[in-house]
Amino acid sequence: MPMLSRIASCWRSIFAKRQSDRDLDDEVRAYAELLAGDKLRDGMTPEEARRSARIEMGGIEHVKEDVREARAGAWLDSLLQDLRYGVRMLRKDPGFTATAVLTLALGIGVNTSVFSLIYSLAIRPFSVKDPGNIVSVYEEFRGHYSRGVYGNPNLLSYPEYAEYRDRSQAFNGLAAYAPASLSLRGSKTAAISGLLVSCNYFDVLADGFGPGRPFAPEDCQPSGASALAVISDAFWQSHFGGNPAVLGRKLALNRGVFTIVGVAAKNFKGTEMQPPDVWIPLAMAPLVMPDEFHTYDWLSLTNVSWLNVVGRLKPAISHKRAEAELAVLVHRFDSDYPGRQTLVIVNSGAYLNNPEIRTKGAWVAAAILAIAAFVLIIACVNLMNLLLARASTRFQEMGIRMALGASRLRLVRQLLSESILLAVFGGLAGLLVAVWLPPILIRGLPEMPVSPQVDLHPNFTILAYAFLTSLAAALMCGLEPAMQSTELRLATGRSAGGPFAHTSRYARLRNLLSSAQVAGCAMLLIAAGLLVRGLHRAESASPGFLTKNIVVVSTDLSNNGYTASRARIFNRELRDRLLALPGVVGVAQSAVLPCVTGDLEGVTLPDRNRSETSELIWANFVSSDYFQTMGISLLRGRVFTEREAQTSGPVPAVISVAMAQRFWPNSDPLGKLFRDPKTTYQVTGIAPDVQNSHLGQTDGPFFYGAELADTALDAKIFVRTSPHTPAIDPLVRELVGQLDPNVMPTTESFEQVLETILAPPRTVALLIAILGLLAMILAVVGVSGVIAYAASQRTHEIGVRMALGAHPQDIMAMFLRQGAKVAAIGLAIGLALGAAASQLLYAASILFGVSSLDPPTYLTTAIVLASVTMIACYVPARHATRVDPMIALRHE
Amino acid sequence: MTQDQTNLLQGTLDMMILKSLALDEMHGLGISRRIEQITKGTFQVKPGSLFPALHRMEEEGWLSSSWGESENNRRAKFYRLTKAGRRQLESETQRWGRISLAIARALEAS
Repeated sequence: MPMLSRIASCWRSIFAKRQSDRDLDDEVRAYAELLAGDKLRDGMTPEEARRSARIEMGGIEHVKEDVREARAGAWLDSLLQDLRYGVRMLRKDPGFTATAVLTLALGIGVNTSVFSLIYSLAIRPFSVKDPGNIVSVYEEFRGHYSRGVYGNPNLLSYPEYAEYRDRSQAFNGLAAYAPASLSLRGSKTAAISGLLVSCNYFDVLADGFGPGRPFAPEDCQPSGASALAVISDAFWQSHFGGNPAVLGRKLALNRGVFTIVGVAAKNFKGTEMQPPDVWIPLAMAPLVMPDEFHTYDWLSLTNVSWLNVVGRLKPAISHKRAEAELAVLVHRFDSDYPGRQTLVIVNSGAYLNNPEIRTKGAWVAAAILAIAAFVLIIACVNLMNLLLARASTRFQEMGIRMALGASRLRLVRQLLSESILLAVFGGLAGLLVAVWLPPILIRGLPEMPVSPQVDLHPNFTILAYAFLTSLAAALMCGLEPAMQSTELRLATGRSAGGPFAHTSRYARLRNLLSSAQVAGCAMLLIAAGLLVRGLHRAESASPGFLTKNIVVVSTDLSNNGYTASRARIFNRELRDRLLALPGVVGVAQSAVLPCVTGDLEGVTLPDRNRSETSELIWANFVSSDYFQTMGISLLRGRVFTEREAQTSGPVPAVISVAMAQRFWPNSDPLGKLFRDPKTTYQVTGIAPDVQNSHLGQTDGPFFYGAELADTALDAKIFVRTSPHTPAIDPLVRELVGQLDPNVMPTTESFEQVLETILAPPRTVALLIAILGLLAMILAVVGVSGVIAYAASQRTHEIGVRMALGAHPQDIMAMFLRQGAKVAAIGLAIGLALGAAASQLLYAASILFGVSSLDPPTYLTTAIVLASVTMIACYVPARHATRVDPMIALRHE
Repeated sequence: MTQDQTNLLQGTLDMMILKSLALDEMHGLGISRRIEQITKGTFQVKPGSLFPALHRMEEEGWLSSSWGESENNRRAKFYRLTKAGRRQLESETQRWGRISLAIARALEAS
């Protein structure tokens, strides 16, 4: 069998090399001697006979070489030879090798880390049984519509989910789930995490179960809906000590009491990055969900987005087919809302696969990947420069080899083996970085919907990515030097190392590469600079209202069964008591947390013509003392009073200047009316434009309506204290406890709230700044290397010039000019790239109002980079002038 | 030698080697002499072509080798045909027969 004997041949060429070489030698020599014997018989002398035989054969070694090349194991043999040679070359210069491996490790490691993060968050399927055909179902709405949203607008309502579940043929199980915030009542009320799930959730997703049983279809029947609970293994350990007698115990959660029927499998996470403490049947929503839409009966709400839907596609059903089928089913709902068109989207099951997050996240991911790739390219460019320099010292060797008959491919392969070895080591080290870096990155990004427990361990895809990146790096670094140094230049013999080397292709290439490094560095520095300025602006500039000494109090009234009107009373009572505390100068209620959340209302003017399309305006619903507490002084008119707010008739509101200009450009807005779908408002005053919706960006049109009953349940209470008052948090908790011991307040200072918004851009800015600094070091080394190399090549020329009377300053100026040219080109390109990159930052909303073409940033970057590169040129240029002309003249 | 002549030669060289080993096992020089003999001097195979071919054909499984003693009592490698080698010789002979017949006809046609 030819295959076997080929494998045997390969084996022999590695492991039995000496033996097979000896055999070959014997065989060919035997031939030579027999041939000589013939000639001897023909009458030649032994001397002549041997010589004649060898000439006739073509030389023993030559024949042996021909046989070796024809063998099946030949390629392997030469590959090993190349690798051995490469290792020897690298060992000769350990400093270079170490730097190169380190640089590559950082570049490949950073790239793989970023990819690993993106993969784990948005591409890796849920860790459930058979994740291959798990999908999520979302809806997108077009046309004229309004829809209640709890969480995300792409989620489904219960009737829609039930329709799909019952009528669709595309799924082997469709489950729904929604997160619920739960208060566990007991001797000490605590907050735990919960997930409302349809009763087939565990059937569809779980591979095994702990003690007890998961939910069964009977548990979700509308009539016999049961208040059951399944707890997580972690919760079982922490709250019940792993006691097997946990089944049948009861948990008092929100407005109900639930019996534990089972414990989930030990590592089961389902659809969440971190498993919730408790799973509760969806049918129990009325006992657990807040009174967000004026009812607790969430299952009957047809037009509210609140449910995530996950399902298992039947084999051979594609995403598109499922989408098409569900689109037909959703018609039934659209017909109840004329003008609305619902699109169904089926995405592979992964954590961040929501269409909205996907689109926004794609920008950020692309930007970060691009930056990481850029750093790797800069590192490779540096290495390429160094390899080019090394290659230039071996021209003679390459010339001789090719003259002796080595094929170019063979030589290129040999030279490439060095860079491949570097890339292999760099890649392995990079994998270490990729395992260690992502958890750090996650901890530095608190705002992201990412749990520190997300599964980050490398799998095949990530390893393949690292491998491909290493390969690309190796080729990028090594191919050009290898190709260039084996270009046949027999005429000059010593190839490109002659007196005019500085005009050779090599030098031009090196200059270009250095410019590229400077460009990359400039781009990173500009990005970092813009971010830093943006952060500074966000931190120092006032958003238009007070942010210091303000404590935000949130209460979980809906969890405790409060109705809207009861909540309103509770809030008023709490505000009165808080005002009585020592050091408190203002207390206000607000439906919205400025700079964090917002309320969009569709506003129309009732006294305009018939055809009015509503305009979406940001709004807040506040108590009358809001303006005084937050330090917003009205420009015209006055704030509404408590009594005004309670009378029937139009609800009083204060509008912003921008809204006044938008709706009543030519008349006085005071006293005018405007409406949203539920209420009519009357303008009592005009407030200045502030930054309610986004830090650093002044609002568009905005209005503050008097607080209404239905905004009471999730309202926040702002408490402003005079400076130097000690923290009032414990006093607040005490007061709330006095009003209702079951309610749990959370307090945080407004500054802390703003801090959470600023943390991610801060981390990003830090990362980019570090990368920029790295890039600058690399660029400096690169430019310095270019000048040093040019100086060494032109030593002869320098000698001639100095002998002819040139001053050292002239020589230095010559090299500084060269360096300046390289830096200038790089800077120009880099500034342009920076402008492009800043557009990405702008799209990700982390510039906080700083212009993407902010002149001071660009100017500073240009000046800093120019000075640094000039200094980098100065040292080797000065070194060049120190050469003794006599030595230089003799230099070849 | 031009490119097509070399290709032609490799195919025929294989067949020559197989044919010369049809009756007896031989070492390298023996095969070379035999080929020269049976082609009446038309083909003189140099060791630079012969030995690579022998090793290649051994890997293909058409030849097997063993060490023995040559005429001048020196260690030499002897080659013989395997069953697969005999089959290959058979099919090559038929193929060449067809080809040479076709070419002869083509050249005779007007």
